[in-house]
Amino acid sequence: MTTAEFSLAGIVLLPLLASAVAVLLGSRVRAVLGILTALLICGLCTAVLIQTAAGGITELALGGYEAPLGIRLRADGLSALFLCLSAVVGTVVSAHAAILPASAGHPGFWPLWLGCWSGLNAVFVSGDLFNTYVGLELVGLTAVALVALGGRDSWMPALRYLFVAVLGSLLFLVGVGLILAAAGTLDMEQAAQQLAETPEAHAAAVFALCLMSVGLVLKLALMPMHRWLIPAHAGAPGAVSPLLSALVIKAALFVILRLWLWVMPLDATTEAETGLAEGLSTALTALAWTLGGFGALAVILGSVMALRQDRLKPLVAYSTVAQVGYWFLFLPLLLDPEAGALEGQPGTTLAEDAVLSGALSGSVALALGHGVAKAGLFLAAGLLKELWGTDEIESLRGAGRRHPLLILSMGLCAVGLIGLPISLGFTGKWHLATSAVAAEHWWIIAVLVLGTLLSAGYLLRGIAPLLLQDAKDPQDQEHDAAQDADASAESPRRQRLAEVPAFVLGLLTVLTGFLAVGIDALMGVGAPW
Amino acid sequence: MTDLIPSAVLPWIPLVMVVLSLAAAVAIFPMGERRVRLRSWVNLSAAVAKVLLVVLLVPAVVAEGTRPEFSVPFLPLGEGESIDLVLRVDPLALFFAGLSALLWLLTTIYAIGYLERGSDRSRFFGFFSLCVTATVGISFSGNLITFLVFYEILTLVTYPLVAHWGDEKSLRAARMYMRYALSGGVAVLIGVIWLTMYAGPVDFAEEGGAEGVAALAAESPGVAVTIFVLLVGGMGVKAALVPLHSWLPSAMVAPAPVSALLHAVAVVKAGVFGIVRVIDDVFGIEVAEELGVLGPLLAVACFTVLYGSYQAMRQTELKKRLAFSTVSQVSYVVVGVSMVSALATAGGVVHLVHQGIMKITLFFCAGLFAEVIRAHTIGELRGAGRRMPWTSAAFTVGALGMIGLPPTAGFVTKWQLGLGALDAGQGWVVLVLLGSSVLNAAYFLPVVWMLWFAEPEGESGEAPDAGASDEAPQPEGEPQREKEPGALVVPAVITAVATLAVGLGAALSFAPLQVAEAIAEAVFR
Repeated sequence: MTTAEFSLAGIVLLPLLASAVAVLLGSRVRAVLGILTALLICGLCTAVLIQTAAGGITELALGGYEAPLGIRLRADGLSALFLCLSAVVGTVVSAHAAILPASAGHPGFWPLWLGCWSGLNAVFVSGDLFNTYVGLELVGLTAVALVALGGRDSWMPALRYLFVAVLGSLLFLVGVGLILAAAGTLDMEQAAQQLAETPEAHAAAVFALCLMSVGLVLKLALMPMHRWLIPAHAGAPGAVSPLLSALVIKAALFVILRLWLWVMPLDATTEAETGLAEGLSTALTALAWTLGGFGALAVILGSVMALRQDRLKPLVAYSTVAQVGYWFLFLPLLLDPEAGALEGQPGTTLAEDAVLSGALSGSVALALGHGVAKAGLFLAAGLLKELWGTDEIESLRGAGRRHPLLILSMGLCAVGLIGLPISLGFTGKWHLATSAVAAEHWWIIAVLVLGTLLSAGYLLRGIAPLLLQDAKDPQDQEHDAAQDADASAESPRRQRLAEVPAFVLGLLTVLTGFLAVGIDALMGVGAPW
Repeated sequence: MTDLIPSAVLPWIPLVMVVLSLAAAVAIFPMGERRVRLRSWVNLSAAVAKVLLVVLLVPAVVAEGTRPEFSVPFLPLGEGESIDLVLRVDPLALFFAGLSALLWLLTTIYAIGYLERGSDRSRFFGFFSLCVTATVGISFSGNLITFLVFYEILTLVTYPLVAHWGDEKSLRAARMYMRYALSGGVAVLIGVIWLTMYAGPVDFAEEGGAEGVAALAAESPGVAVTIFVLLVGGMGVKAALVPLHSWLPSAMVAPAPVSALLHAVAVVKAGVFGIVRVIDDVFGIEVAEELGVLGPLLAVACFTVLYGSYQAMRQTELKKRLAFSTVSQVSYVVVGVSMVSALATAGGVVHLVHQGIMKITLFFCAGLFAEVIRAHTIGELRGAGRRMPWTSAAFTVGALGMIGLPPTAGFVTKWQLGLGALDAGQGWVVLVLLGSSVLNAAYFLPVVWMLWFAEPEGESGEAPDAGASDEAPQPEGEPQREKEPGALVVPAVITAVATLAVGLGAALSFAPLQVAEAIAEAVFR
């Protein structure tokens, strides 16, 4: 067993173990354990990352049983990227929760979050569909419990979230069953092979894809199914919302990418004998366009809704709804990856799969960038709510004077969310737009432009009032008094320190913008083309 | 002369110059409000270092033709290739960087004096340095992507500067600025994406445009024109081309040093500089001419020149009048580069610097008037000449330069542009220039007259904001001379002297005009 293989098992089992141990410990020790686990996970992720960056796919058959009999863990470029996201964001947010225990809501945070982390990692390295299901379920249930930590007011949202999560998992599980029946295996790689070779199984596979997509989209809160997300993400404790928005929904996204690009026999559409039958192909196209259309709808309507919010955390939550839309825009490109527009132009000569790979890299970059930036923004918003007792934008006027670092972090995160350079958001939009231009999907450009401008609008609307300085002096003093009262609970130094994690995420939002080339190379490891 | 800088170090210098002001910003942000001395020290030494580096680069780049270049891979493009962030120093880049380095130094001195008792100074100076970082980045950009990156950064870091006072009015202006600038930025982004896909990654080519773009223009002119419109339209927002100019006058609520920097080097100039790059170095002037895009652009620019002047005349607030004057003056650059003539291009390029020096003088003075005698409107300037002679003298020089009287810098520009217009066979542009001069005179001369020849009003204090005169009770009828703070007045006087100097010394080697002519000749090869 090499280090990388060992790490692969470690990143799943370690947090699970830590979660179980944490239940037995006192609340203070839990935080220490949490931080230790986080650091270890970072180390293990680095090992996997190094192996993947060197061009190797890390595989581990648990217990030595090979698929289809055994369970296989597998990390390619896509896995490594999402693992890194969860390691970085998870560690920073854990640090925040450790610094400011109030932001975790309840000591129950630690076991739940560590369990959730284990589930996330399991999804990211899972090589077979059932394991993916188990991971998703673990993530979903712990996430619901994390929401419920927000106190009595968040029980209803948590319950609603539970229904959605369970319904989504159910649909997913039915899809898994169908694929098992059609392909005779749960292992993704083998299933993909089987499906490509047996045209008779295509009908079941496409139907399964429909079911699973709907189930996952529920968990992802794509536009018409987004209602549950707002109260859940906005009502969760300060350290929980960033995890939910940045990581938990990414698990579902990851599975969607895996299914559409790795498991489904999309390549077969071009070959006559093994190709999808006419009807199936239409069905698949319709599904892709529906999801892409919902994505466009989410980007625009979600942003408009965000513009209409008066409170900071719901605004940020709606921003998540809007950003989710971006990740679905590339689906119609998948089925039509011809770089038609560039024929006969003197410009860039593209490789055969450039549209596909560009669109996928772009969507992944957008998702990763969103993870970092949104975690930072939610962390900052949660901290402001913690310190000021409210997140109404109107009453937060002038908060910037007391917390300049926090506002700076929010600004940096906003750069990433709007998609301005230098950030992964910009990289992602660039990729997506170049692919769209090449394949003549102009509607994507229109959505990107509108989304960018609207997101600038709502983020400015949320952040700018914090810079106002004309706050009435007596009111200011009232706030000061309230602050001092709060300060007795948490020492002011701790509060200052609690601003640092958000700032780290803000900085990372910008710095990761330089990693575009590396991310693209990583995406090539184990890519489906 | 290469001995000045070892050639191994040369490629790093553009990076160092960008990082210099970035480092200053990073150092300044965490400083406590009261550490004035340390902050000023960091600020000034970074600014001085930057000026020195520019001076060191001039002989190597302009005389010897070396092109220091630094690049890092930024965006992947297909198989293993990537679009790089490129910082390259060519004469045009150095020209603009020199302007920004010099004016940063002067504006920093001014701002230190101006904000002596202000609040949030660390934030202010931090973003101020970031603003200069972006400007230097823009000037050294070696391709459109790099340009775009710094262009957007500039938009962002200027926002807190415009919103500095933190009242409703500033925030509204800042929001408006953001709305305009971001929309422009998105247009540029789309243009760049489209161009990159259709014509390949575009490096700025000094000598007549990129090859891929020329091929694209020959292949599908419609697409090329659309891309040109997107790029120039997007940059036209920052360059305040009518009808995209409305954000500029309202951004006047910003502190005086910010307005000065915004109008002279940073935002407005970045837009115009981008337009120059697009016409001369991306499309190439011949290709642009064949596409038939220069005519309409020239018309828009001429209209902007006249419209800006007309609006300026209608303003009673000094800063607003200056703002509309900027709208008008900056378009001279566009007028110059959109005529197919080396003379006109040189006139346009040299106005980048000339307008910068003159306009910053005027804004320094406007800030001084506002600070010392609380004069915000033209009417309140009555008799200010005797109360603030240095400031008034500097203002007068700047105003005369704007009108274009010899021997100021403004005259050199207008002369050059006029020659260019005749050379390019566009005689009517001379009429526009003359008309603009008349309008300029019509709105600047009354101010100058107010300063020197109008009798100061009695002490009845009709002016709503005459608070300052309370502090110094004056003898009847005899206006008392006010103390003009050194940190504020010295930069203004320096730029005023420079206005005269670049006008008088336009024929000396390394004078802006000479460098501009060299740049223009390279464009026409």
